[in-house]
Amino acid sequence: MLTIKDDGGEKMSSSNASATLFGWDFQINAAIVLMLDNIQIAEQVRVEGDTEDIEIKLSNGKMLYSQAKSVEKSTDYSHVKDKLKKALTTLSTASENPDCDKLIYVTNSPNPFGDKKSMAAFYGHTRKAFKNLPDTCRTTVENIIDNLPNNTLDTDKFHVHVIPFETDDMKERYKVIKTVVDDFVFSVKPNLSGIGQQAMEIWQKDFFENATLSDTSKTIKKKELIWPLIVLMYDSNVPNNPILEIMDESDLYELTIKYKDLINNKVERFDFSTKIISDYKDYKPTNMKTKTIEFINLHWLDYKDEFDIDGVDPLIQEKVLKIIIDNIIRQKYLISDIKKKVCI
Amino acid sequence: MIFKSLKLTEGMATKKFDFSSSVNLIYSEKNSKGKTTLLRFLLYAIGYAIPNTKNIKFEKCITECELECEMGSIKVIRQNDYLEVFQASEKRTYILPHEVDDFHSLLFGTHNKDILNNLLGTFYVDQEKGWTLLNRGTVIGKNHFTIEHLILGLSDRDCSELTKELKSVERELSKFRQMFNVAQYQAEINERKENLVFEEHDEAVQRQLEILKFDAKSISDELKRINNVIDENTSFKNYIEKMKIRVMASNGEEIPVNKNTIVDFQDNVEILVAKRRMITAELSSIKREINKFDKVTSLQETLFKTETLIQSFDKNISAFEIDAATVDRIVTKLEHERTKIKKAITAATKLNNQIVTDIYNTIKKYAVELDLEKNMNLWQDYIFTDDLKSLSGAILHKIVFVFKLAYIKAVQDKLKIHLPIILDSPSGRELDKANIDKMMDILNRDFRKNQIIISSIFTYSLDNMKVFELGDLLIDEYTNYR
Repeated sequence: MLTIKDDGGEKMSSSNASATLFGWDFQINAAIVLMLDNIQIAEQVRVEGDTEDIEIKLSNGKMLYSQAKSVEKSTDYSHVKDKLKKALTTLSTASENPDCDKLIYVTNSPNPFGDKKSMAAFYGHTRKAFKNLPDTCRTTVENIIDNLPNNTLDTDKFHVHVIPFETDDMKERYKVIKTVVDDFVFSVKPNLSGIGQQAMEIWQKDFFENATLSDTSKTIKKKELIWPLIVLMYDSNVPNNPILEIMDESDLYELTIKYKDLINNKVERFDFSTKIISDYKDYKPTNMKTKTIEFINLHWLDYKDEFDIDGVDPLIQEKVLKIIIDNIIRQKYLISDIKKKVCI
Repeated sequence: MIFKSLKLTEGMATKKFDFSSSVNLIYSEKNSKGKTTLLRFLLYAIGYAIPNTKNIKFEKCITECELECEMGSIKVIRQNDYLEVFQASEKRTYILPHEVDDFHSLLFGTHNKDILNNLLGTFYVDQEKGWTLLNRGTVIGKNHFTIEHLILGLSDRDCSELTKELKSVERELSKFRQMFNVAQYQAEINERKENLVFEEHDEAVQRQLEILKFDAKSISDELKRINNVIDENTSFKNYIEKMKIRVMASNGEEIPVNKNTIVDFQDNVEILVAKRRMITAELSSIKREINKFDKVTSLQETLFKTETLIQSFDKNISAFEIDAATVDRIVTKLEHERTKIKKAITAATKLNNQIVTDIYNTIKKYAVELDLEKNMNLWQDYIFTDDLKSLSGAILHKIVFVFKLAYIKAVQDKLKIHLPIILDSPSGRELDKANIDKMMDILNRDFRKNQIIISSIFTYSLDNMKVFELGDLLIDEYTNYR
């Protein structure tokens, strides 16, 4: 069951529900940003964890704890200090955990310390370690933690992360999140574009579901985040696809649509795809750069027996088979590449 | 062919049945104890496509069947779509359903597809449909029987071109008949000259709803497709794992071949699982949209009279351009064509065909013995009859029995083999004991070399009968029936 809490963890009246939902939305999107920021070393993430709003487990067994505090109107600074105090109180407890690696205060307020003079340091999407904070901000943090009953917060582990996130116009609200996702996609596959929006929406849905699960041991694993991205990348148009050297683009497009199910079935059937990949690995090309095309041209006939579309022109069958082989090899490269880049 | 044993495995549970080569009775006092399932397992075990019964999904079970057949002693292991046949040290693997004919060719000693495709209908009588299947119809699931095809096969005659032509004409005929019905209805509307200008629903909402439903359908199909691929890959993996292969790494370490060690297998699983998750989410979101629109349209519908739907239908029908007279002419022409092709097939089947005469003679002999003369026109063409409506349940039951025996004899004479005779609930509801005894006497006397497997809640007086009494579960853990 979804329990609606305000920033302090107390139950809220229904009149404040929209503010709470805004807070949830921010928390979910902040979790996506933090996960992508740490994708190389992250293993799994939990939104609305046991102790903190966002908890990321790292591959070395350490934890990244984060408190997410949002303001509905970015020009309203009246409660930002309170929010900071509440966040530090909770993070201070998390700091006691021996597995604590980083403590992150994430907010959408451009003035996270309620101090107009330091605002310039937090313009746009910013990430700052404690030591890089303006002096006034460091003093604010130290004053707060000095007054906490258990002053255990290790400031070396403390970071402030400001993510612009406001308005009811969803496109505007998610602008920075989308940029982060786009940058991430670009970092793992530079020649692909246009899948950032879809990836963001899928992850938002997954993170939201995770946040609503009362069992806090249910986490989102890194691979659960990455595999949908691989699917989107595989499905998107491939610039400079080698097969275009032996096939018209219009042919490729038309046949891919017409024989979509057949092509997908063959690519996804492990008993078929493993044969192609195995033969491909063993194949010694005359030129490494043209290995795929050489392999397709020389070996497509080897798989002809497993492939017969009744009553279809043999030339079309040949082309469809070549598309299938190309897709299998392309998918294999894509998976290996992405897995390597994000360490799964 | 003789079923020597059948071992069933479902998860950790197994059960083995050792059959007698003469008569076997699968018995339980009450129904729903698994008799029918056991018979179906026998057929499933030798490669037939058999629909699941209420409590057991065949594809989740492994069957291991020892057979005595034309090839000698063989062991057949089936796991979903994989069938392995072991004979001495030799092993053959068949992928079902594509290679089922190859296996059956070896099992029954013929490559003739007309015989193979109709063989099951000769030796197996299903509880549900079998006792009304005389000469044409469904044996079980997708297995059909047509007497003409069996006879063509037995007499080595080929009518495949005519059969193809017949199917094509029947398809066309069915379409044109539908079209003719529409044309007639259209004429009726026009005759009534009703006002076909109606108030319209919010067409934009309707259009949007149609688009969403179309999207939902194609996404559902894609989901089904992916689930099928996942199932197939899982079967493949299970098949490989079951072989317990170990390979040696270059450092001498022995590595078991399983889902964790097969290169790329986990990636294949992960990508399909991700696709399935994404599609499921997309489908849920579209369904939510559909629900929203459905609510809007149902609200609109309550604002209109119920006639509106009929009027809208009429309006669409009247907009079609169909010439009823032309359609009628085409239907008549196609019917003539169909009759002509059917006659040609029947003629090719019957003409100077000793097999027809042999089947007829066997039927006649047993019909007399079972007092069926007055119910059957005992002339040669009766074996092709399609008049079953005039027959009562008990009479039809006996006639079916007689026909089956005649088919079996004809097949055995041709292939020089002995078929098993598998009868599910031969007593029927309306058959008295005297008739049952007569039927069993025939089996006792003339089919002694055939293995007979009967399931029933009754017992019978048959020689050398081995009885299997079924308890509550067909497959208990580690139980053997010996």
